[in-house]
Amino acid sequence: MRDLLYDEEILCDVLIIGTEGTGARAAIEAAKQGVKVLAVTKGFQARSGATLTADGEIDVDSRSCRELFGVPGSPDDSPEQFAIDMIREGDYLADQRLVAIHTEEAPARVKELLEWGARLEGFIQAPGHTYPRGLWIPGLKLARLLARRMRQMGVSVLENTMVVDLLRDEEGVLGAIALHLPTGRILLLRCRAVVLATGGAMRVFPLTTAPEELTGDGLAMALRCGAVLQDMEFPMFLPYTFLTPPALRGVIFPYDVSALLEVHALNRHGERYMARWDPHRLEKSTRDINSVAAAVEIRSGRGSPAGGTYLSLRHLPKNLLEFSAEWFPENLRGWRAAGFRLKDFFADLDDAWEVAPACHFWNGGIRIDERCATNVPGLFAAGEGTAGIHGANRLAGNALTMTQVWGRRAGFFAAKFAESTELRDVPESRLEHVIRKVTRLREPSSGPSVVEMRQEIRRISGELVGIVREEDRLLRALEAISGLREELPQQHVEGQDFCFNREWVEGLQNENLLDVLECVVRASLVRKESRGAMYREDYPFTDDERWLCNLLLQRKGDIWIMEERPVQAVYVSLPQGRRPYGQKASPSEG
Amino acid sequence: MVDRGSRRVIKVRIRRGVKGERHWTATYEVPVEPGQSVLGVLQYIYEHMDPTLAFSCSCRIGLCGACLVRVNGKVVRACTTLVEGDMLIEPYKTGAVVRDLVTDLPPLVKQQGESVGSHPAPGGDEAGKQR
Repeated sequence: MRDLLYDEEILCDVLIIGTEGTGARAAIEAAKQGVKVLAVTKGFQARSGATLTADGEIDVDSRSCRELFGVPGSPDDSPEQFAIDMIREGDYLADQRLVAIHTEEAPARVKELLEWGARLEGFIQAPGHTYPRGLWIPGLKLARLLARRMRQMGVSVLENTMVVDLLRDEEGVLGAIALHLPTGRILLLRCRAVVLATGGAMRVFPLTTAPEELTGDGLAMALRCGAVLQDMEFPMFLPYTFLTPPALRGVIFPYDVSALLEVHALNRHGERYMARWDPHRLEKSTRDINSVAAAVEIRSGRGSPAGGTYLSLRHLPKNLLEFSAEWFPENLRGWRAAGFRLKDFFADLDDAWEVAPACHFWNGGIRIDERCATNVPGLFAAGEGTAGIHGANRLAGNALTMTQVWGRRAGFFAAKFAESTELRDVPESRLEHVIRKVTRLREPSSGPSVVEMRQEIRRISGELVGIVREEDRLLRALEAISGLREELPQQHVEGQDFCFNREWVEGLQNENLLDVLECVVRASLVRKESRGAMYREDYPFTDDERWLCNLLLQRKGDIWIMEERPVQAVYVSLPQGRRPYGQKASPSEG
Repeated sequence: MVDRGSRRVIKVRIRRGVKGERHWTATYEVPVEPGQSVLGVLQYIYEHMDPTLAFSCSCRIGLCGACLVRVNGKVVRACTTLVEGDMLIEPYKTGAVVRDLVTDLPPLVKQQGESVGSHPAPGGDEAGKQR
């Protein structure tokens, strides 16, 4: 008898991939339904993923904030008004049915968090919101709270385990193959339903605010499993993050300062270039427009030596700057940026900071319905990396709300699905195909190293895709991606330690990054307009006549299938006509 | 304050090896820029000199604690600690080594659910909790 292809087999009812905000909430709900839940994470639980880096706003309509949580919210707000704001700020590409569920269920989800021990630490109004809606629960505390709750609910957690690919047959999803990083063992995870809660793919770009793990694994696995992706042309950027010094690259402190103070965003000629984009609001314009403007300056050769723009506080008199420690609310007091003390880096504010837009969030992703179901039976998805909630642009504070509302729904409906589904055997051919991805990395090869491969992917995303896109560059990106795809099976790995082999992880991630980047490029090529987080310099206008549609992508073998699906005006009517990029639409009455 | 001088080369010694096996100290000559973190040095070694080096990190901004190491005898987060000169980098706790600088991190929550508090937080945990 031949050897088994894998080292260990683990059975469960619902397999949840990702253990932070969304995955944790899904796991808690599925366990509550009485099914056996296994949650796996590539990193350490509550010490990895995007949730713990969240500032801490979790959005709920202002009236519910007032009535349920005793904060000074406005009685004039409602879940409906919150939904209208989301649809408008998402530049009308959101799925209005999903948005209605989102704002309707948000109050109950936050109420639960408080019952589980969370504490509200503030209440704010962020740009884009008609009323204050940001309840402050720091992401780090939220992640730990949910981890504790998961354990209480009896969820099994497998840390440091990277899922390589999903397994399926004609009827639907069967489980996954995973690599256990501490031992290098290959695990066969068999289940009745899967929830993908793996977040976005921000690390496909060279500058990002996202943690290490956010390499689009779930998006790419869903694509390879036959799921439909949507709105992949809308990765979101924050306009002002540090570019130098190296330790601060991608730290979002300058953006936070820009939201709180008057700042001057300057190009290398000293010009406040935002005057050309939004003459009234200037740097207080929305973050998508600020990012596009900065990227245009950089691309036009008016940037800083390190390839950014400048953010200056020099206009403030020195004897006022003395009081700077008093300016900020609790979260920025003392010029602290996350775990950094800025006075370790900058002696004073005489010099401008070198800043650049960094990829911060993934607006699009796996297409889901109200039950978080994908088109693949048994495959559910939730949270960042699913499409339809935010449309072309996300409101501040709405990412954490997304984790709780949609994590819970995914957990519930995946458990219900599991109850009526039998475990099925995995076809050997599929098993072999997936496991080969791991074992290939253990064989000698003369191809590019996994590090070179990753660097090349980020070069393509930075130079040829970026925020400001154009047909010729996108076509060149597509060609470069196809070249890298041919080299992928020959990636070279230097070390063959079975314990925490960083190169193996990167080698596997490289395929995911390539798949996701190709989706971004293909969708961006089709959409011949500029909207929300996406700007085409060859089509610098928003065209509501032609492009109020979602772009759906699916891959069958080597064939890509693209579909345009018109947006449905279920609750809010849609704008008409054509407007310069950045000008808000005024929707027709209805 | 970060020295605005130019790039220089420092000597970095790293205690390496697998749990329960022989350990050794590897030495690397690493070019560093002003304002570079210890994590930046580990990343440089991995990318340009020795891809077999094992270390862990996640958020890179001093929140998650996944990059806890000992630098010249002091337990720190590699991401928010700036390079000062030659250094010896070791696992934050010898008994917790898995491989090289990857360690079993102190538990955040016990299996049964009770919180056991946060992991050791160099420089005061409050620093890490900001924002």
